[in-house]
Amino acid sequence: MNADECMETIKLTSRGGDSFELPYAAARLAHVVRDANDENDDGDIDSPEDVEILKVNSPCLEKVVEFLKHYHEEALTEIKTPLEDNTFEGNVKQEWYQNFLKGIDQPMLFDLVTAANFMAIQPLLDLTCLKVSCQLMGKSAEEIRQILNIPKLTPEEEETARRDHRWIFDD
Amino acid sequence: MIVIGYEMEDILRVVVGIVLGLLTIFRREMSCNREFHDEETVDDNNNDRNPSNAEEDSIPLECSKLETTHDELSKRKSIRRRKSSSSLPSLTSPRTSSVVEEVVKDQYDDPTEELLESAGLFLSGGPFLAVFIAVFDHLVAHKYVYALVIFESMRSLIASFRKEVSDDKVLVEHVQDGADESKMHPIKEVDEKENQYVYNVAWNAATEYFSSISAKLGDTPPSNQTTDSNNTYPSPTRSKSTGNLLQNLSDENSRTLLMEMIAMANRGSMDVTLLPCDAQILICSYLPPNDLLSFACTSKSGRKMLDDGCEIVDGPSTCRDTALLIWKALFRRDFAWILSDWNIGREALLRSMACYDNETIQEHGSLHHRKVIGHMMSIVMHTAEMWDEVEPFNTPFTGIISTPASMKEFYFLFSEVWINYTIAGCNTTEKCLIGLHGHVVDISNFVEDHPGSTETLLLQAGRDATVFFESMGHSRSARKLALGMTVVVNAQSIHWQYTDALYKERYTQSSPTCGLLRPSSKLLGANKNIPGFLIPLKRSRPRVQGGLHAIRSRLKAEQEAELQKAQRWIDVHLGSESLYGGIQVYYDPFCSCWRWWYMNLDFNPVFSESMD
Repeated sequence: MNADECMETIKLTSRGGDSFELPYAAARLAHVVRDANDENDDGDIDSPEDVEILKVNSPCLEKVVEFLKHYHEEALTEIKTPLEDNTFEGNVKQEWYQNFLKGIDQPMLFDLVTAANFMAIQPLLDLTCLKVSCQLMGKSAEEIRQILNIPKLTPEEEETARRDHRWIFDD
Repeated sequence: MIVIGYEMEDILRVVVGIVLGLLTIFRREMSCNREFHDEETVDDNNNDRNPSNAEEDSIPLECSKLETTHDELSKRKSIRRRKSSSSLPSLTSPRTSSVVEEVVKDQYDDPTEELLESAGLFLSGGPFLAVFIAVFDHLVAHKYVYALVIFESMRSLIASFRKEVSDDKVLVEHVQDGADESKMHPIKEVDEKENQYVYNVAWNAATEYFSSISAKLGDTPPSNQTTDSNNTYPSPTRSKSTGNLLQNLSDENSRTLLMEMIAMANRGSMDVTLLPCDAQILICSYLPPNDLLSFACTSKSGRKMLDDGCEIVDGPSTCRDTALLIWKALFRRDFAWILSDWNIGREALLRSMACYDNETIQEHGSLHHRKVIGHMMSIVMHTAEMWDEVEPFNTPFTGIISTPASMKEFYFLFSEVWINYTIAGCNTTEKCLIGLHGHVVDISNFVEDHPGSTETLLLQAGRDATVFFESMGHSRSARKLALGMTVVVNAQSIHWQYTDALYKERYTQSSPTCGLLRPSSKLLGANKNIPGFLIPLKRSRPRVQGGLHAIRSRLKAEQEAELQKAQRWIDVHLGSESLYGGIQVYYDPFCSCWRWWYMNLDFNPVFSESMD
């Protein structure tokens, strides 16, 4: 049976034990699902089975499943580098994906990055990493420190760091 | 109904038995509870004790009694069920007390003794106990035991979870300490103590968080008095020290700091440097180099993540590999296409490769150097695969003289020298390119028509000619003409403020792009024809692109020295009349060395290695 045309649904189970149901054709975007179902290169599988994602907690997996379902209907346009713009919205034109990451807090964003990496969902990893990048873009070291809650360097370390990374600006 | 058929004697015996039994149980339970209290205050290091015993303090006697017996009962029940379910009906009626007694004694001799002992019912006497259990079993067990079993298991789950949270059981100790303290103090203080207990837990979580991060990164913990004081105190007094600390933190600032730290501990890792390597590389591959350098200045771990040549990089080699891969990704993004898709860049790379073959094989110092070479070569090979001509690469590149100390250095070296490196020798009438304000302009088709003499143009071509171009004073239309002949656009030398108002607004933050672009790039769109966008409208100083100060100043000094050396060599060996124009030098980023080139009298470029 070809996985793309597979109509069956599977359940992804989170660390908290919550299950989320979605069509296999959508779930197979995650390579961890493909691997668990022994899908070969031609996309042939026998019958899809449920997968436990023990490294991802429930709220995060819910978000991931939401992404997978939507991606199946409307794929994310590939994000090309160098970026066109220095805002997230300027680079991701699709409204759904803009809203997908709107209003989520920083820890959730980081959880999503980790989950996307663990589940090997490249488009989600691209999207979430772009969001983090846009937060850092054009910021000074001090601002980044505030955004990411990083402890300060000692004055000596700060000085060496600045000396080694002195940037030449236009006129 | 069943009772009716029996003699009064039996019934009386049963009733009296029940009353006596209950009395005994009640009395025993009372004394038991008192003992329990005493034990609690004396015994501090009992590991088996349930951390949440304190909760039972306020629970009515009846309840606590039920709880203990229920616990045992549930065990019993399961045993009983397993062994003989047929005996169950007989247990449900008081009249069969003697039978029950026998059954109990026969079948559960040892367990019963044990259970009785632990339940504090040892003295209550066999028959009464059996009756009690039978009645209880019938009336209560079915309804409540399951609920209690669930309650118990949840409680043990929570306890085990707490244990998990702190590796060294510090937290559990604290929970117990806190509980004990709150127990010993009058009720009025309990609330306060409970708060402190919450603080203790949170505080420990916060310190755990910091120490785990610092352990992971091999850093010293953030210079934080409170953390230190916590660590220097021996563990028994730790709870007290945090208590004092909290009193000291009465002022608003310290309290906010503490709350922030707690919030941070609860939110978990917020640092990009703690994300998976792949994510780090991806995040960085979206960012321009100057932002990455800002990030490298934020913290030690940020520096480790981004600076693969950094001396403080002494941890596991994976740190360095991440940095290396990040800069490699950036090189691919920003520069790689001019080596693979642009014939001039391709020729320059071939020139470098040809030199490799002539060099003697050398052992390279550190593992990291070899890695850098390996990745540089993978870029080259990847590039070469896109070409038809693969022959020059059949021989392995083992003869590199020296390498940049890091991939980061290689990236910035290349961004500094790419113009002079790629267009070196491109000053013939067939192929004539110049560097102008950071971009490369192909004037091959224009050389003959240039208002000034063709020869002047050829003498200046093949390198960055911004200074000469500006000193000649070019008209606005000449600049427009040059704009149309641009073949490689350096995004860092674009003045975005000349485009629409939208960009002007954004320009105040940072230029949105970096690296080299094709003039046809979508990023430039219609903007590239706007006067002043790529090349200044009027006479101006050369546009300076961003870069690493350290590398630029080093290259500048080296270039001057190399130029003098080359000039001396020409004077001694060739004589200035055997070449046209002067000798030029460029830095070859792939070989990490300077190379020379000059025009011979036939107007053909001649390349040479650096000679002494």
